[in-house]
Amino acid sequence: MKTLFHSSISRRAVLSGAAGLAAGLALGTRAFAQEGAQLTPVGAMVKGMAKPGPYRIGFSNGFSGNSWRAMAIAALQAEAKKTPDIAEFIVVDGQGDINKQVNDIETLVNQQVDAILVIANSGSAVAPVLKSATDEGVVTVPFNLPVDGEGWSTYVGTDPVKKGGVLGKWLNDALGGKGKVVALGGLPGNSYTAAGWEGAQKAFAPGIEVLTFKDAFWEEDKAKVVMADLIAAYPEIDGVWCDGGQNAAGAMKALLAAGKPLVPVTGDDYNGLLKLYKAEKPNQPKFDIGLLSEPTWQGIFALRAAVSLLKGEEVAKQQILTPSLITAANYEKYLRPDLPDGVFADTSLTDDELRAIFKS
Amino acid sequence: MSPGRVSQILSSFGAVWIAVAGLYVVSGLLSPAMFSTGQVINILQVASFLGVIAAGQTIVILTGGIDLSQAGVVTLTNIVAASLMAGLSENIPLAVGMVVFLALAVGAINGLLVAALGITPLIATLGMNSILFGAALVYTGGAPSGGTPASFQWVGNGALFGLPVPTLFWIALTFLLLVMTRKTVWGRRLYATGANPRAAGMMGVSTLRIDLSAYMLSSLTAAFGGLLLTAYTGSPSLGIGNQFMLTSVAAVVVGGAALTGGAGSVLATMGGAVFITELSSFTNIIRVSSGTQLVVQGLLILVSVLAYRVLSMSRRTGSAI
Amino acid sequence: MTADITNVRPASRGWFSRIGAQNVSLLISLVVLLAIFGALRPDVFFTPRNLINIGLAVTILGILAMAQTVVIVSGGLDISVGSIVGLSTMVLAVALQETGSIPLGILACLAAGLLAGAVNGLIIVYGPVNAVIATLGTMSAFRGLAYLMNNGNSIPIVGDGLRLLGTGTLLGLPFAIWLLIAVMAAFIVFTRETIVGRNIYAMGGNPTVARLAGIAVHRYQVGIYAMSGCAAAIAGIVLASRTMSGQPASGSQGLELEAITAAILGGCALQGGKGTIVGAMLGVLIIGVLNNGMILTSVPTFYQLLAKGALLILAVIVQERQRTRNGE
Repeated sequence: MKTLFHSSISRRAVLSGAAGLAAGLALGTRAFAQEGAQLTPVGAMVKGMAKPGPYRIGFSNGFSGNSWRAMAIAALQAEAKKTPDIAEFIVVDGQGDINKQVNDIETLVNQQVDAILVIANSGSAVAPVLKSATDEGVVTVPFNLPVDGEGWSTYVGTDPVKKGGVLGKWLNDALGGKGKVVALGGLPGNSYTAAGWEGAQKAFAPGIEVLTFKDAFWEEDKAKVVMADLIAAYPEIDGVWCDGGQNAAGAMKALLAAGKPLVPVTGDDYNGLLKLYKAEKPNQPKFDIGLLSEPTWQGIFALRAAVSLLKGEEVAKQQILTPSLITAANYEKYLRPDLPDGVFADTSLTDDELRAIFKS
Repeated sequence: MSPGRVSQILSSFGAVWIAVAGLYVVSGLLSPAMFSTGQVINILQVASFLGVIAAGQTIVILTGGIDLSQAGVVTLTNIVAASLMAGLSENIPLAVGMVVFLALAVGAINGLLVAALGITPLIATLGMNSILFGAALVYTGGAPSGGTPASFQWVGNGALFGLPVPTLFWIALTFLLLVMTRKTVWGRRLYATGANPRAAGMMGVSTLRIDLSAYMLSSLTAAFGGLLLTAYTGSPSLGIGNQFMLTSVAAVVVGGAALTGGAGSVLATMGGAVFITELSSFTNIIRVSSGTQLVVQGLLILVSVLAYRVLSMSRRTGSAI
Repeated sequence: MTADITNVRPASRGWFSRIGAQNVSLLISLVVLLAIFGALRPDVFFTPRNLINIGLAVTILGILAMAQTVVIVSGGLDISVGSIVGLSTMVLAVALQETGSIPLGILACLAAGLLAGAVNGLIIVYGPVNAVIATLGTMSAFRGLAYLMNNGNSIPIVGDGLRLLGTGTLLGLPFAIWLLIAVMAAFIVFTRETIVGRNIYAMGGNPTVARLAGIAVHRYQVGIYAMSGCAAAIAGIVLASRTMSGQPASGSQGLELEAITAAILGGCALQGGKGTIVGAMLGVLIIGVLNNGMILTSVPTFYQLLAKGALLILAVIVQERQRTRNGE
């Protein structure tokens, strides 16, 4: 029998509930603690296997090399450290390679870890190896990017279609349902951007004309170069849809360099974009932001789910995060003028932890 | 070897410029936006990053080597410069000095590995690239920080006499290297070493010194390119250099240089860099997917090289063996 | 007309000479690495499961490195193989979707690889275009084709037939490792025991002499690149069977450069004429053991890249020393 849960719990409630399990979580930082992101259980409850602790837990990170991943790892490591049930937390890095990540997961299974967390390079590629790990009794928790099938224990992440739709709706409304937009996505062929863009297009009114969609690799320099070309091709660009703040910042910097007015743009909680908004808004009447974070702290919930299952507790098959919208009205609560551009402002980490990560 | 006069002119100036013009006309007809002055300036600005980096690559390829560590130098430059500048103008000299020092050290090690220890350049520089990227990761812990002050951003975004500053820098650098390669003893020795290292050695050329200087120049221009790119974006990114590992080689070879060494010109490489940037800009403008973009880019690189062969009617062997 | 102009057959056919003096230094490096990691992780490293794990991890690289060895020996270079791996996994997935037949799917996949490789060879020979620039161009084009096959998305493969190849075992060893062993045996026989194979060495060593001796150099070259493409397709089949999907982006993270690195580590000279299959496989094993051992000993991720680059350079320096000492 399949029970479908769809109750919404405010993040604060989830946190306080989970705090008991996880022996307390210091909620020192601003944005993480005060905003009302929601965590929705979806699908049947999964029962764990009640292994005796303490546990050894592996994390197969698809790649590292940007500050989002660095913060995600740091959040996980901080959580692992303060969880007494966790004896060892091993991080392996797939270096962006689909095949290497499969090997990495096999190496973790081979080390007889009790649970494996995964951010997949490709949601289809790791499905078979996760399934065989699960069949061997390892608790497997993909998070951030979904993995095909159901051969894993539980999943934590946002719903990219819905997120893209919310951003699309915001952009549509900011333009009054009428205008020409371009879209900048992440890596070519990545399913996260594809899903988000699909959601966004459905949210556009007929008056919104999509000029083009381009891959911009979630990197400022690439986004700026691509946008510079698009500015030449399309004299009128009224709005920019992005699923990442680096893309948005790069695109706005291209407009600035071309002497064009800044326009409404979507993105995420990338501090560089928030700083840019703060600096340019006074001179740019049309500049506006509608942002949804892809929370760097979501791994914490994946880790907690893994520990719960190992203890024999019940966890929903999927826990979907719904981050709250950041707009001109509330962005100053997130903005960190004193911290580097690379910080993702919706964070569980303390200022000291952030300074340590960014060495600033 | 006595190629015709046409071929002589073409090979010193670069037949690639014909391809540049051809592509420009075709792409402009398909997408009139390519014809706008703004877009021409934009292409020249973006091309200057690749162009500056590839200028040094040309020198190494002239010796018969290859430098795949330029990508790592660009990334490390971007990371170190942004971190040391930390948004303050007074830190610019320190940051630039440090970056130049690192680049010269990297180039010297590459040169020694290749010339003194006899390691295949491809492996030596690939290993070095891995080390440099690893160093950038270790230095930042994966989370780069810092940024450039507004005064430095002018270097990447400003304009003088209607031309972008990076483009002017690129032209000046190319001119300097052109004089160095064509009018100095060092330049003659460089070409001689590339054409036949053994013969050059017998004529008293210190191939060790030539190789060393070539790899140091290559690292140095990679660092310059990295600095310009850092000024252009204003922020650090660990992925910033990757694209240059193969595109800098492509720019040189599309420019008509032989990977076997001894033939090629920095002026032609300039054309190669414009061609590659023009191509990616054109494929950005027309509404095609990344897949089509890659196919078109690959095919046009091949077509341009083939066209170059036909045009130059050169007998120089550029084939595999 | 095909001629056997290599009268240099190994004089002694003892075990030592078969491995070759150069490979001895590689073997020593490998043993040292094994000893270090074995000592640091005695609980895991030498377990059969971990050794199998290393074997599985190097299967794809191994197949590519051996094919690359033949290409390099002939005096060429193929940097499009990573893209062909990605393209062939997509062809396999689409063919399986359309026909539902595994033999047909595999056939289509191998044909695609062969065709892609032949295109490389034809461009290089009849352009004529430098091998690096030709395969640089097709690297981009083949990757683009892989993306175009399903709008950039991966294609899941259903059905258990292919999964068996990815997970099945024979005498305790996974099929993929048997495949690697079979490919290795085929390459060793091809390069050492056939006239064509030995002619490739002659061709790479001195193309002019080879041509004068009647070797059809052009036909050989096209054949060698077609073979390289086909080997990449075999690697693609292994990858698809492990991931049960066609992955357009697979093999894009420097796989071709890693294969070339392994081949050169194994004693190939980029000028051609030199290099052995056994050497390439030793190079592959060194890389595989290094990757696995650094994970098991929890070397921090970022230091792994540093260490790998430094150790590769070191290994090549040691080898170069050995080569000069042997008076080559």
